[in-house]
Parts: sequence; structure tokens; C-alpha cells
Amino acid sequence: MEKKLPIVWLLLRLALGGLFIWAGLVKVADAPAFTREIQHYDILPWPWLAAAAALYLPWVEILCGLGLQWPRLRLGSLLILGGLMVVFLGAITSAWARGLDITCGCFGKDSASILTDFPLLLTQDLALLAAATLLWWVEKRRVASQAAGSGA
Amino acid sequence: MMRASLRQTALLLALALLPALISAAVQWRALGEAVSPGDEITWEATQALGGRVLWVDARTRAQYDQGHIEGAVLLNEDQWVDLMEGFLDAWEEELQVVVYCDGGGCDASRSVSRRLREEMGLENVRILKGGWKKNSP
Repeated sequence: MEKKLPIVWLLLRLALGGLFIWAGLVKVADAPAFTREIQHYDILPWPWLAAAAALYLPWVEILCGLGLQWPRLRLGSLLILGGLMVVFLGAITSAWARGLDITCGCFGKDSASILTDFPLLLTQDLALLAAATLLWWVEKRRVASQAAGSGA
Repeated sequence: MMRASLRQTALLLALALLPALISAAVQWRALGEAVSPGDEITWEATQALGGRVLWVDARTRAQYDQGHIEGAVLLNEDQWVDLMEGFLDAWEEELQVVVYCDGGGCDASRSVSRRLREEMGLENVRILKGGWKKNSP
């Protein structure tokens, strides 16, 4: 299937990578705001840990968004992005279960909506996780077929 | 293949450290303010003010109607103009304005307090640490 639809995977990679690069850049530009967003989840035990995460995670997102476009870093990028989405899904679900009123911080400082739309946030994250998983599967098959071809 | 994926993962995670450290150096002061905001006030500290507090509830009307700090006026961003009159009726210059929302993690109190400072020119505006959930009876 991947031979018939290479343009689809390319577009999906570009879209997913671009989304994470953009999301990362927005957060890098205002790390203090992202620090507050992380604190809102009330998960991390110390405030400085939220600051460390706010400084580090956006750069991981940016590098993975770029790495996604390069075959030699593609599997690693997808592994990290998938892992991040699972962590974000857990954090959002936990906040919802505890009845917290948060802004997700997904794309930097959110609009000042009073109440959080948790189902929408979870749907967004699940869609991104599905895209990363699909690309992982396609890339794994590509690498395997390449290895088989070079071994023959 | 798994080993290659893990090697790539480790490389990407390590590479992200350097720009993160540079970001930390550039935004150090603002991060300190985010970690330990100077505009928050604890419930205990408000009690020491001897009633000279104007409570502002930044949540929705439905949440306010379900329960609020005694004497609090409702003022949220969704109904800013409509609710401003009620706030102005209750406001006196010598009162310490304390804004709260649902919990320690909501943004509504921060947004309302910022607008009160920037648009109304008020200076004595603080945010209740922990919000309604932590301090409600």
C-alpha cells in the first residue's frame, strides 16, 4: 500500500512534523506561560520541574518534527512523538477526572476560554497519536523491505 | 530495527538539551516569576486583612450560583461588560481585590486580574492561591 500512496505518507509526515514544529516554537517563545500551563495540571510535585519540562519539551517537539522528515531519524522521532501523545492523553484525562479547569497548553498560551473542552482535547491528541502510529507502521515496513532488498 | 529506533530516540532527546539550556538562560527571570508568582495571596493572608477584601469570582455564573466566597462579586471574561457594573458598585479604593477561579490551575483569575490592572488601572489586585476548590468550606 505504501508504494501506491507515497504522496499520502509524505503529506502526513509534513503535516505532523509541521504541526509539532509550530507547537514547539510557540511554546519556546513564551516558556513562562507554558510553565504555568503545566502547573495547572497539578501533576508534578515541584514547580521547578514544570519549568524544566516547559523548557525541554518544546525543543523535543521541534527536533522530532524535523527528524520526521529525515529517514535516518524518522523511527526515533515517531517513537518520541507517540510517547509524548500518550503522556499528554494521560495528563488531560487525569485533569478531567479531577475536575480541573485548565487550558491544555498544547499550542502555547490558549485563548481565555473559561471552561476546558476535554473531549475536544482528547480527540485532537488521539488523532495525532493515530497519525504517528500509522507513520511508524509505514516506516517500519519501508525499512524492513529495504533491509530485505539489500540482503538479497 | 528496535535498537536503531532507540539510538535515534536517545540522540534526539540529547540534542534537545542544548537549546533548552539556552532558553533557560534567556528566560531565567520570567521563569522564576512563573514558578513563584508574586501576585498570589493565601487564604490565611486574606483573613489577616480584617475584612478589607473585595472578593472577585472569575468563574462562570453557573459555578458562582452553586457556591462562592461570601460577599464575592461575579466578574468573568465572557460577561466582562455586563458584570463590570456590579464590580464597580462594590469596589472601594482601600479594598484589597482578590480574584479567584476554580482551583490553583485555572487561568480565569489570572486573566481577570490582568484586565483589572491593565484596563481599569487597579494596583491592589491579587490572586487567591489554590482558588475556590482549596478554600471553599
